[in-house]
Amino acid sequence: MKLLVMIPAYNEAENIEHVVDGLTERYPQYDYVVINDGSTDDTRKICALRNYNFLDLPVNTGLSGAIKSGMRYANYYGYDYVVQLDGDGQHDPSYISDLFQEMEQTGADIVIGSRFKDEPKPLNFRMIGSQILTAAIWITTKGKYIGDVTSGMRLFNKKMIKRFGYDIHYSPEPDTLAYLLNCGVRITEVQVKMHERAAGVSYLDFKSSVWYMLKMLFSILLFQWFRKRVKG
Amino acid sequence: MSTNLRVLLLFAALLTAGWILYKIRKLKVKMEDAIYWVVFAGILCVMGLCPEVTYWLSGWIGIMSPANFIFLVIIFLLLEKIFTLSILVSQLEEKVTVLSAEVALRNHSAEERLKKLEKENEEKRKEE
Repeated sequence: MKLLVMIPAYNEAENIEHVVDGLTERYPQYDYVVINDGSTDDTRKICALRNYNFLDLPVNTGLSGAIKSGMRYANYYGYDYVVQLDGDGQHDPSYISDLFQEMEQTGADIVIGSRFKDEPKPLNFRMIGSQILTAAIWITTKGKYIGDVTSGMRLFNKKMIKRFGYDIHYSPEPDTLAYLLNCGVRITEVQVKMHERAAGVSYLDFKSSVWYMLKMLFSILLFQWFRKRVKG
Repeated sequence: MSTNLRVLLLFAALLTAGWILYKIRKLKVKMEDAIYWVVFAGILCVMGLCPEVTYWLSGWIGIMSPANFIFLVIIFLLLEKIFTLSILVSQLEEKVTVLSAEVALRNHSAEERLKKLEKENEEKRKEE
């Protein structure tokens, strides 16, 4: 079995060393690839100097572009599983084995490292948005529950690698989860703890979150009914 | 507002929505780009279904004929689309420029490294 740890990084010069060194020192058995998504800071320089294994995208393509590159990398080199860890150090690689165990036990196609599987969501602006998306998925999939819809820590199997790498609509976002659930793809969650990001700013800033919610709700409530269903 | 105009509006709304949803199905357009056209179809639909709204709004602005108001709304919506598209094209052009510069640069550096390696190999062979 071949597992790839994919680390999308956009302007993560302050965090990337900590993340990659933490992974390679404690878990040398995993292959990894950093995807530098056209960063304008020193992310590329650091990756090159430290001899990290990295894909260097010349222009910024956004998170879904970075994920697509990573998935194509995994497909090209014949990996069976891909786990996504964010480049900001929020995700602890010690949970990778938990995610993998869950996938083997349940036969799931996607396993999400979830902050809210067993624990309740805190009440703040961002979490209200998250709960709305959870509800939208719950309604459109006849009662399937995903607690942490926006979690960036996910394990994919080979079937999902192909789909995420080659389909225009497969963004690494909650709307894809809703669509996949309706295709009969199995998605489960594992409770994890996440760190606060060490430095820098998140991919999703507050300004764009209204547009983000609009996109997701349109996609989950309307567009997914017009997409071709590829059976899981 | 004549019934014919209302029917025409509804027909246009249906066609727009149907076409863009078909394009989504055929993987030809990103879903986020389709939102605009669905909203556009929705506005045409509202103007066709509830002429009272159109009458009230055109009266409020001071346009005699609601048909003119409908033209105005459509022109406004299309202008907005042209505006955002124009910005997008600029950004894409810039991206292509950067992309080709980077591809050329990286090719160059890879070729330089290859030449250097070949030279070193040749020198080694001569020494032997």
